[in-house]
Amino acid sequence: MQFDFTQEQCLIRDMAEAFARDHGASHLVRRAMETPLGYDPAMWQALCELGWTGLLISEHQGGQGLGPVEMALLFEALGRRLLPSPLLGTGVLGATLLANLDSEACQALVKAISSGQKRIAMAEFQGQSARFVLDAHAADCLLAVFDDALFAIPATEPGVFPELEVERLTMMDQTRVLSHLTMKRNIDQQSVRVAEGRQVARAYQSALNMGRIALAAEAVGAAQECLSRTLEYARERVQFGRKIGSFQAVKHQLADVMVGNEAAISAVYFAACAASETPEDLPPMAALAKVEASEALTHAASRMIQLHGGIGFTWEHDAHLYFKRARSTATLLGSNASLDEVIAGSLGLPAAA
Amino acid sequence: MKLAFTKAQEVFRAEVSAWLEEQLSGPFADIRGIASQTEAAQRRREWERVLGRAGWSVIGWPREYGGRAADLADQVIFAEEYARAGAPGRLGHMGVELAGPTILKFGSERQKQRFLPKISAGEEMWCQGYSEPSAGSDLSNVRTRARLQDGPDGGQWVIEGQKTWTSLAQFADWCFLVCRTQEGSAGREGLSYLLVPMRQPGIEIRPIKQMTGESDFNEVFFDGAVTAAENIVGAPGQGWRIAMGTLAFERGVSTLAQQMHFRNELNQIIEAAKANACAADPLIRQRIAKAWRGLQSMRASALRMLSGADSGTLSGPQFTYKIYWATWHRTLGELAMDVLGQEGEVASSDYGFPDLPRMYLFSRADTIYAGTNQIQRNLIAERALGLPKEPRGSD
Repeated sequence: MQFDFTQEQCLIRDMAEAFARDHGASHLVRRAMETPLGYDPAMWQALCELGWTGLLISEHQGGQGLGPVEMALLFEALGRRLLPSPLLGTGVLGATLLANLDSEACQALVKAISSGQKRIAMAEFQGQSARFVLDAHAADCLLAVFDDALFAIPATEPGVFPELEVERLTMMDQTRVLSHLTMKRNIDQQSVRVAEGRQVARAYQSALNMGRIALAAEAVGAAQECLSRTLEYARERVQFGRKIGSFQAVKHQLADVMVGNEAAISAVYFAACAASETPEDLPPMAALAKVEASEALTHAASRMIQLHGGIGFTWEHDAHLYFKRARSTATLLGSNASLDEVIAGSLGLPAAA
Repeated sequence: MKLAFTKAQEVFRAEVSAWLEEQLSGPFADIRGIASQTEAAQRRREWERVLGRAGWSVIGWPREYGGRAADLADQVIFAEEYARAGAPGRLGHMGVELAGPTILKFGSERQKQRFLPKISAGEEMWCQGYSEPSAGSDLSNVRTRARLQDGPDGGQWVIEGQKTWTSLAQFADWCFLVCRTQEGSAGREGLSYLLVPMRQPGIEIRPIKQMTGESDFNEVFFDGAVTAAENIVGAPGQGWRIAMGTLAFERGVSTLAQQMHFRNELNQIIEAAKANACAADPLIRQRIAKAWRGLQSMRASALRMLSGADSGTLSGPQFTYKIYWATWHRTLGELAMDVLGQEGEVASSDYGFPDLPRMYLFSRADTIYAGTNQIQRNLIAERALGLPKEPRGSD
């Protein structure tokens, strides 16, 4: 039992933070989020060259063979700067879903993720449509879950699928791109069906849970950034002849943000450890991480706006980007209320009336 | 980063758990599950001696003072198993967790030889003399005074004043006392840390009846009470620094045992919710899930705190832990009462309550003792976040 980072993990964190510093300056994030692609392709290229799309993929498949803790460290660093990229869809959702399936086609895709050749989007279809699909607009391959089958639908060019209509949405949080997908005509099931049976549902749930931990890690990174920027402001801003950070009404709000952040950080790394050590606990642990982190970020970003006063309400200040990120974190990959239901179920409470 | 324990550690866990089970289903079955500080004190005093004889009282201490020099993981395991087995609250906990570690760190060799073996053997109980009627959150406002009176062996300290909120004083053999030894001094200067025998004519103990109807705390009056000149930890005037050192020990391994106790309470709530219609109420389900999340976060924070304990830097949870658990526990009490409904409000004829309603009332103290939530927020803001200090009054 050693609930502290190893030297190797510290190195990964340092690398990730350096990368996020280089690519995540506010003006770069803002420029990228306003493009149709939603992220900077040169940044993505650099990220792929570091091998981070294959972070969770085993070494014999060309990946780095690292685990959820290292994944969390990377996402925490990227989340701190709200750096937009298709890494969650590709390196977490796609990689986890495919790694749990053993067909040749799946394994070939895993290698293509490791090498950074393919960007992946994952969608669960209800009937003919899938709503709010992450990063489908730029995907080279769509992993479509239909009941018990998984289809890997190739794009003819990024985000373009002959069988699908992709409606790229502009969301409140512009640092993520979501799309609605609708089937235009039947897919050629034979050629793109890559897995079927109960293993698909299991792999899909694993992917969602790993994605929840990654999202949670992003959120604790962002929440800490909210706190440190607000602290900076509270130490500088003078009103009534005093630094506003000397007023107890301000100090106590900031202290509460730290309390929430620290609890969420603990929860995220606890869940990440559990994901590798006791995978049978993954559903409630992923729920724990996501809800705690989502609540911490919502709280931190709300306080960030409030304590900055008027400037915090402007478009120019970054506070709104964090506040909006908090909203998308609360709803992506399962609402907080639905995840608390997962926990309630795991505690043996009989299903709600 | 790793949560799992090694095979050797699991063997240790089995040894601990087997010993506890044997004692608590055998000779000490009558005190199993007692959480109250005051109940069955005589039997719990015997239990302290049995723990001491078996070498389980202070496993993290050096062997020469009755410990096992156990590493952190083994201490964690022991704390968890102790709580899991429903072993009674430690009557000796003030000595084991506060006085002992303080003497170990700041005491003279002679003090270590005199006091530590008696603590580890479960033979001497301790209480803490910090708070006073005018020194609550503002602890440095201590007014209890001690002056050195000439005599053989360097003379003795003569103590005048009043302490309050002193838990376990009625069972204690010794008190670690913060008092003013420099006449005319104020604030943190001029304070000293004395070790004072409790069973003497100059000390009077009066229980405080609290909102639960019980008396977990006392007022302690010192009227010419004495202790030998050598019973001062550190030098005269170093009392504040040493007292703060003692407070730091409060955030140790025992937090994990406390959490196991919290888990038992949450399990009781879940069982109660299943037994009445509450378990199907979506609002209650959400609150139970939230309570569980808080418990997991606390466990993770405690492990973070302990794992970083040797690195010398304070990690975040060391600042945030107290306010977090206290607030969480208070909320748990509210959840318990909402699950129990009116049944939970029924008292016995002598105004006693079952565990959960009692916890609901008692948890109002959690956010007050050992640093109120207000003070915790100041500490976090000033020490962890580096914000300006509170202005001090000038009188």
